[in-house]
Amino acid sequence: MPTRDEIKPKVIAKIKAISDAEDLVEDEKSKLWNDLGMGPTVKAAMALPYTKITKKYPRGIVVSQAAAAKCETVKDSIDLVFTRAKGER
Amino acid sequence: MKSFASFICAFIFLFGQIGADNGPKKKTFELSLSLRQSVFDKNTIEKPALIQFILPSDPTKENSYAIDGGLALLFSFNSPAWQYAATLEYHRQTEISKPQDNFQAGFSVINILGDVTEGFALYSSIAAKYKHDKIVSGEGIFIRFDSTPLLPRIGMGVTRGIKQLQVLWQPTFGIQYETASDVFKTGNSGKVVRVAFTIEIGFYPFSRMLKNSLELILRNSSWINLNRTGEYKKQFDSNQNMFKAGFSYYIDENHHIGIGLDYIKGENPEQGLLNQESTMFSLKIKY
Repeated sequence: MPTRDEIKPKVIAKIKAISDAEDLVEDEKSKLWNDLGMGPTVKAAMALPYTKITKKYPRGIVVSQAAAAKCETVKDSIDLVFTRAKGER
Repeated sequence: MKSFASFICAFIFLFGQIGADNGPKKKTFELSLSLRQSVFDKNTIEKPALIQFILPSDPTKENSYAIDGGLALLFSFNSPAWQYAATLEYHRQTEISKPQDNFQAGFSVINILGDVTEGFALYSSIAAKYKHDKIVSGEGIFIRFDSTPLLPRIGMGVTRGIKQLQVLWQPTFGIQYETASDVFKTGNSGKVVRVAFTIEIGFYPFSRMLKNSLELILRNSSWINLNRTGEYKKQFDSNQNMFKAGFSYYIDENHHIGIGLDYIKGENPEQGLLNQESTMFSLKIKY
């Protein structure tokens, strides 16, 4: 079973790959749109990179576009990927 | 209507098969709702549903109101690349000289090709809908395909710039097919095939300080009618264009409710909006 501490750096690395506000990505309270400038289409498009993380775990399930688009903060994204990596919704 | 319903069923089945991940892991089915100005153009910069008070440029005309809203029921089957949506939209403007009364219901499929964190992804959607426009076209079907590239490195889909000003832009290319049963209440039908191109640029002044709560979005849409038959050939120009400038300020932290001023010049054949120039003060709602 994955731990949250194991998932967190993987999710942050994905967000860092697209946001130029690198100083804010490490802060879990940072908002994906307000602070990091991720538009709605890109927030939805994060479903694929998030799923690449979850599918590395035996019980991991997909992250849908709607679930990825609903994330408001870095914390929401980490929690979403952590939950799906455990096979939960 | 029966043939349209059959088409929608075939559409769902076909894309459902393509999108499904048939791996051994736990299957997922997810549902959610979204409220926007238009739920068929999800490729573009997200715009909230509007309740507007219209101040026409021509001072001799009376003020009026408008409603621009769409509701989507989103669902997906075990795939991060595919999403499906059952959608409803209503666009109403009471302005006497250029009224709008357009209802649309349909189904859309969204695909995201590529991993955006690796530099490039393509956000595409195909929608098939039934429309009922009481002023411009009567009943008909509308099929559209749109594609938007996402390139975060150059600000496509993610804001770029300096702390005082961030910019986001998105070009969208599309092709559309539309039929109409009663063009401008002449009793005559028509069909049209168009290519569409939209470019949007969003400016976010003092973005770090205001958390992107203040935005100016400039949008230009052009439709080139490739093939028109029937009454479409008589009543419409070969090309249509619409320019929009929207200034918004969101009053809550999560940008669900805002107020704004929108300027429109041109016409929107997709939503039955006739050629006009107006400025609108509006309450904006996005969920």
